[in-house]
Amino acid sequence: MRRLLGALALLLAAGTPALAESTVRADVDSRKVGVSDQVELTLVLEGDTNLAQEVSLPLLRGLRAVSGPSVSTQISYVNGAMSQRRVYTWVLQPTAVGKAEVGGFDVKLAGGPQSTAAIPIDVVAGSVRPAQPRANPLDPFGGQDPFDGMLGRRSNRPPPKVLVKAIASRDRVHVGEPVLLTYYVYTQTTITNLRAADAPQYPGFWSEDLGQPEGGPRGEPATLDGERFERYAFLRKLLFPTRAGTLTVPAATFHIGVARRSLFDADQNVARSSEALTITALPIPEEAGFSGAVGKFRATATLDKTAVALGEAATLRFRVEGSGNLKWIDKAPALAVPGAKVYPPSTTSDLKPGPNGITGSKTWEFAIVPETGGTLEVPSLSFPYFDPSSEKLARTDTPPIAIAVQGGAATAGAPPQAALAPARPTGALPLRAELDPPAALLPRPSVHLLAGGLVAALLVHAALLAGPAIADRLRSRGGRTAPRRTSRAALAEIDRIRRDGLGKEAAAAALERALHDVFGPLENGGPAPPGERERAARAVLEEVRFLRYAPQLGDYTDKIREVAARAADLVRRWS
Amino acid sequence: MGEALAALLRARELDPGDRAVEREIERARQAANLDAAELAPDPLAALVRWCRRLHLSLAALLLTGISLALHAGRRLLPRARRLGLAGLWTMAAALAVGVLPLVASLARPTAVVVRRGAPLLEAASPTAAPVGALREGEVVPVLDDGGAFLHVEDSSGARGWAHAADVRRLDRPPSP
Repeated sequence: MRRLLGALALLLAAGTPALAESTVRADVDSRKVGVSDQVELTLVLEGDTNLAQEVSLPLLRGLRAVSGPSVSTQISYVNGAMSQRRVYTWVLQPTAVGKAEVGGFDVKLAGGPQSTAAIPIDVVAGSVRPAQPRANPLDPFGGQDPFDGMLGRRSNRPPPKVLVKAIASRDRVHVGEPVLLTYYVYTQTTITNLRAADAPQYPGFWSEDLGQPEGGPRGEPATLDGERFERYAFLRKLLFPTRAGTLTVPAATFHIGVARRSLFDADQNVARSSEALTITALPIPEEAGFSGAVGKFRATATLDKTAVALGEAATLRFRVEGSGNLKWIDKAPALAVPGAKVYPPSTTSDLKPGPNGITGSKTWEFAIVPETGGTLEVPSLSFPYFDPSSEKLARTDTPPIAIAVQGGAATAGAPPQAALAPARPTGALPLRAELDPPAALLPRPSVHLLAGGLVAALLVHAALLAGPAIADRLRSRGGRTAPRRTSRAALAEIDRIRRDGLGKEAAAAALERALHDVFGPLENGGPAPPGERERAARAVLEEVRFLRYAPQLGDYTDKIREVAARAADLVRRWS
Repeated sequence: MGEALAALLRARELDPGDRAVEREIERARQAANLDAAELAPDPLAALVRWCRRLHLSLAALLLTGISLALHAGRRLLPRARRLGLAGLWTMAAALAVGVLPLVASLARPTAVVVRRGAPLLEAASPTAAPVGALREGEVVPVLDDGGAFLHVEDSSGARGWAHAADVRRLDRPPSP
């Protein structure tokens, strides 16, 4: 339609001897907007709209162009006079709260230059108007079918395109020089999700992740093969070639979620891959003492104290700062201070990766312990690096630093060779025997000894527990004497009966029990024929029973003592 | 790193109670990027160190002796019946304590890989084909000792022979 109108305008213009006087005016749809609103800038050319030079967007302050320009042309006849009108439209986005301004247009028409005044815009926080779709002011539907979105009519519109591109900041670097690799998504529709199918690989590179740009991905208009896209940077990597040669950044695949186009569409997931990139890595010199640092650096050396007592430690901080691949460099510079012992350094760093490389500093801290008095000198320290701008090895040096050592014998001039020897504790060097573990205070019995000891103890316990019972049984079968332990207990019991003055029944019962303990059952008709031992025992037992069952007609104390004495004699004799 | 780990692990065998050695072993393990399980393939090995640290074998033998002494006292003093009971309990304690070192003695001997990429050979022969490679610093159980070669099992379960110079046994002092 626009082409038809344009062609008609050209046709009519060719046949029209004169046109009305040209006028140019510019305006915005609102002079006060929120920072999240969008502003529509319109430039209207009327009359003779033939241009000597294409119209370009003027200087913008506090604004950026989101889209545009869209151009429309209109021709009309009014009272036999023809008028031509051309309208340019841009959509602008405020970038910050405050005063913004659209600079004046300088339009070079065929009939002469025309200009417009600058347009001030007041930008406030948030939004001052409801969001509404930006549309062509001449098209009531903004070029859209009003039912298309509601009913999901696919019509014959082509599906929106989504692409992923990886763009390297340069394709020819030295080994150790940074390359900024940015992944962009080019889209003609809304993206709901984006994730890597697999973690991108960078063979031959050491990579640092820079994350997303500050404030999240920001869209910017871009054109690819004549088609318009919005472009978002979503992944940034800082790559450092680790070897010389032609290196390839392989293609990376991403899964992208695309918003549905209507109520009746489903969300779509598409896979898009970036194209492989080739980067040429140039070699860097390999020289003795060169640690591989590439970039621009400056070295400094400081001592925490310039005067120390003999044997006291001073700390030397060797700091290298600049931009480059300092993160790679672990090897500390060689430091030897004559007359002092230097301990291996500790390392700290505050390196931060950025789009231009890794910047910051790395510090090696050496502890220096003087071993001689006088003035010692920390020699100049050098840090060689490759400067890509000059393509040469360079070095940054620190000045020598003096340490005044108080106490101890001062060295005159250069310290003697003996003083340069590293310090060691006084006395003999530790021998291997001293390095061996001290003898254990407690012996460590072997497992065999432990097992044998436990088994033996178990056997002894078993014998102790079961032995008396077995012995008694054997003894009773053989009619042998009572065990010594039982006899002693019986004698003690008899002695108690004699001493305590028990009643006759109690004393007789206790005596009878003691005799049975020692001699076993003494009833007539036992398993073995009675011998002298049993007969003697039975005689005493008879007296004990007589005592027990005798009528209580007087004092039996003497009788009890007498029987107890006989029983004791019996036990002593036969047990 | 393998040599350092071997020295530290051997030091721990000698003095299981030294916490500084434990800390250094942990640092070395992290520096060598080894999993904790790769340094402790046999759980009984920890029990061995624990028993050695607490002198459990000696304690068990001492308890056994005390138990026997109590029983002897019971024989000599018939009225002191409690001595016998105390002797029985002491023996029970001796058994409980002594069983731990006995169980720990079932632990397999271990060795540390001291050479990076040490080959795991199919047979105890220098011309045997390699079946894999051992990780430097890894502790492997020793299944058999063939003199110049040790039959070991790596953390993946692969069994093979390693040259004695590539692995260092922890249960015996290093050869001079």
